[in-house]
Amino acid sequence: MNKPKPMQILLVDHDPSNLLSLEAMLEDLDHPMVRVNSGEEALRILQEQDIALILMDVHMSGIDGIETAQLIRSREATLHTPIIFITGESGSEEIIRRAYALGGVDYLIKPLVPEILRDKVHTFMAKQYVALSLIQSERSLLRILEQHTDGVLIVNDQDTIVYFNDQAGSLLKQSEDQLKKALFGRAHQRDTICELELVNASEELKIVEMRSMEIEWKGDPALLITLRDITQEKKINSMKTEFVSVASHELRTPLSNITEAVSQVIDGLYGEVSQEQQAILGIAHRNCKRLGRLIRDLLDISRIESGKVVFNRIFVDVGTLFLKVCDSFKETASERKIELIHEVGGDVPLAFADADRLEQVLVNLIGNAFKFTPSGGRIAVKAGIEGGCIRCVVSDTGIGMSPEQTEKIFEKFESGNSAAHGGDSGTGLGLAIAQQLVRLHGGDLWAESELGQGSQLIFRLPDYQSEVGLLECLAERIAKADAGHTRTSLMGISLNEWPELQARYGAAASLFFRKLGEVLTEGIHAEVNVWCLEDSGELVIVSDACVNRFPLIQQEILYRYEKYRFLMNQKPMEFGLRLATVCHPCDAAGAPQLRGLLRERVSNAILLVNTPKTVLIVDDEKHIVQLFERYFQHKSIRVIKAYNGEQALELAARDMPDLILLDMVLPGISGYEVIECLKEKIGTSHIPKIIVTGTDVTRMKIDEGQISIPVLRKPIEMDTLFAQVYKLLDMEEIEVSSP
Amino acid sequence: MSAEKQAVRILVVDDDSDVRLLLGGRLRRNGYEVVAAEDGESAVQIVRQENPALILLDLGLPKMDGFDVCRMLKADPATRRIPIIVLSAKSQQTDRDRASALGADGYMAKPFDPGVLLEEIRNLTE
Repeated sequence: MNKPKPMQILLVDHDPSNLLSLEAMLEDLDHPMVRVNSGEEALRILQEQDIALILMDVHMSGIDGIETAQLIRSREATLHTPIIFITGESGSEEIIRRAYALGGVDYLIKPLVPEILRDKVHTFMAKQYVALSLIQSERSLLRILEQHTDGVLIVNDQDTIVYFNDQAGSLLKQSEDQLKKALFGRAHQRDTICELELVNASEELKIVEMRSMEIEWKGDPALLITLRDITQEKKINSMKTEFVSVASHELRTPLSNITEAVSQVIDGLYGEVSQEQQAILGIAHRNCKRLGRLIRDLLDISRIESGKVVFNRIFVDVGTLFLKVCDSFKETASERKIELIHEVGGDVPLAFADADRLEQVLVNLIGNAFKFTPSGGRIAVKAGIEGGCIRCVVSDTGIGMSPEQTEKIFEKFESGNSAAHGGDSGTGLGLAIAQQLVRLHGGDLWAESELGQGSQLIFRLPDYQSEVGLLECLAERIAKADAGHTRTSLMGISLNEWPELQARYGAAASLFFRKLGEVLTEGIHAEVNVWCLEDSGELVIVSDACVNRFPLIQQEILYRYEKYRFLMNQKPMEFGLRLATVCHPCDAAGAPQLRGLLRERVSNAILLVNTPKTVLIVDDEKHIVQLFERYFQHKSIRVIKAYNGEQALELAARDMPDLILLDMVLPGISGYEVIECLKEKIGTSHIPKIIVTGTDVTRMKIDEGQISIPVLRKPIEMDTLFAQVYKLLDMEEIEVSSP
Repeated sequence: MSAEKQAVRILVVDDDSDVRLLLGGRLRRNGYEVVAAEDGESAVQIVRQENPALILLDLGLPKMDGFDVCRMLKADPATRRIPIIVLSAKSQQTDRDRASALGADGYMAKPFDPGVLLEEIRNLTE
């Protein structure tokens, strides 16, 4: 296969003696030769056999050499076959000109000098050998591509598909146009691997892993794209996850019963238990707990792997969290005589993380350290800032690990050798879970250790309060996000109390708003367009991102909002944020029509993160409302006002205040009825209330269910009022003014 | 500790008879009076008849699931104030959030810590 077939030379001359002498001269070159006496015969041979070089006399009876050559060139297969003309007329320039015009020719003048002829033929044959080898290797490359189990496409730099194999065709079962539509936009992310969903002609959804690589194709830059059908793989994977989840759940129920039965006996509920019995039951109990942990961790890892973990991310003070977690290990530390210290630098920024999950990471790491640290040892938990990241280290003075072990500890069920220290046997999943959780927070977790020197488990989290950290993290998240089909969606942000803000801050408010628009959307997504609707205090964001990507964009916007608020040192009350998403396919031109819809949604939107506390003041006397309002605003509490019962109910349902200050005597619906109506609705039944009244309301008059509502008599002592307000709002005065 | 306490009535709702037996035993020995229901419909019925001081509620129940029981009891002014602790093998945050949105007062995943459960019951019935 490697060597091209033997290369034949075709000799064409009407004179048989000339043919014989030609053949004799070329004998030494060791090429098979075919002799013919006419142009017609030459053409017939060329149709039947592979010829590498033609030597042809110009003057022949029938069609002459030049005409024959023209016919040879008209056939695709012999378009490039080299021809050497042999002519007796040295001066026939016209013939030579016509011969050269055909391309790929040379000529020799009789009488022939054998050395020159051999040299010329040899040179031509060597060139031809290289050309044929190239064609051969290109053919075998195509054969490999053709039989490749992955779909292979080659796209040139004009985005034209210049080659695709059967597999690619059948995988996609689409016309070239559809194929282009499905691939492009993505294929330009060179040297990348990504997953994409394609619907083939039989309406089946295929999940495909696409890799693209820059190559040279026939001398021009091109892109080699391979498509691997991973639909089945994905399906099996999700079945596995589903199985783990269901199995874990089914295991919990009987385990719970066994655990409870054993602990009831241990607790002596059914009579005294001897020390020996206690010890034996203790084994059962410990192993129940262990099985419980295993199930919990299995569920955790399967949720993480299936991407089902939902994070509730807020700004978390790492120091406080460390203190809390270390406190929970205090008892273990003193039992095991291990010194547990924690050190958090004063400059450590807040981490933007799910507090419970971050706690889980720390618990897993510290728990792991306890497993490998002997009595009298030391475990230190430290946090500092390094290279725009929050760096946390859990170090121990334990047995340490070899480099091979260091790599393996994050694999599932790789719990090392802990028996030596009698620690709680782990599930072998703790470190894997911790690593995954940190990665899902945009950070990384790794181990550094030496045998006998103790170990350090280190994790880094991006510093969302630094511009670099934020941008890097966003870039990474966006790169990971799956871009979807083109479908425009609309999203809106509205600032609470925009008219008030404008009145208070004037041009500065507008500037802030525009700046906020920039900050919020900058770099989030290339396909996002933003309109600042200054008159209504809304930012309308139009994106043709896939609808299922919207939660991600929404999340990014929230990060940015939080971050911006930090930078500007804004009190939360001044820029409460409402975010509404309207997932509505439309084109950009249709967006204005959607603004109305958006506005409606925005005003009904759920209040998100860190919005200020809101108090609804209900009183028919305006001056009293104003008085309260001033006091509340002074304490950075947002105020909404109602002057009668109907209005109170409407505002309570719409704005869901955190507290209602309610006058009992109102025109129309009375205060009592307001309380009853609020109780009836799930959305408002939980809102705490303070009754403020001039009439003599005693608790006797209010039915049993309202007995817990505090009643304040007019004239109101403001200190008493705020003592109640703070209690009900779960606030402390000092904390109100800073975010 | 429970001698001077007037028997506080607790309703245990679980389709697993072992759970009813075990929880019943634990609670009785801690001075509580226990009534039990094995499905959602009878749970609602028993709540109305027996007026328990607290409900321990499983989520996966026949006839009417725990979420619906919770929704129904919390919507009725006569039963709204009875604290409900969900006790379920479901441990996902979404289940917790859903139960809490429906008005459940507590949530414990199985296997549970009996000490923590008793404390939670004490807090909610005092």
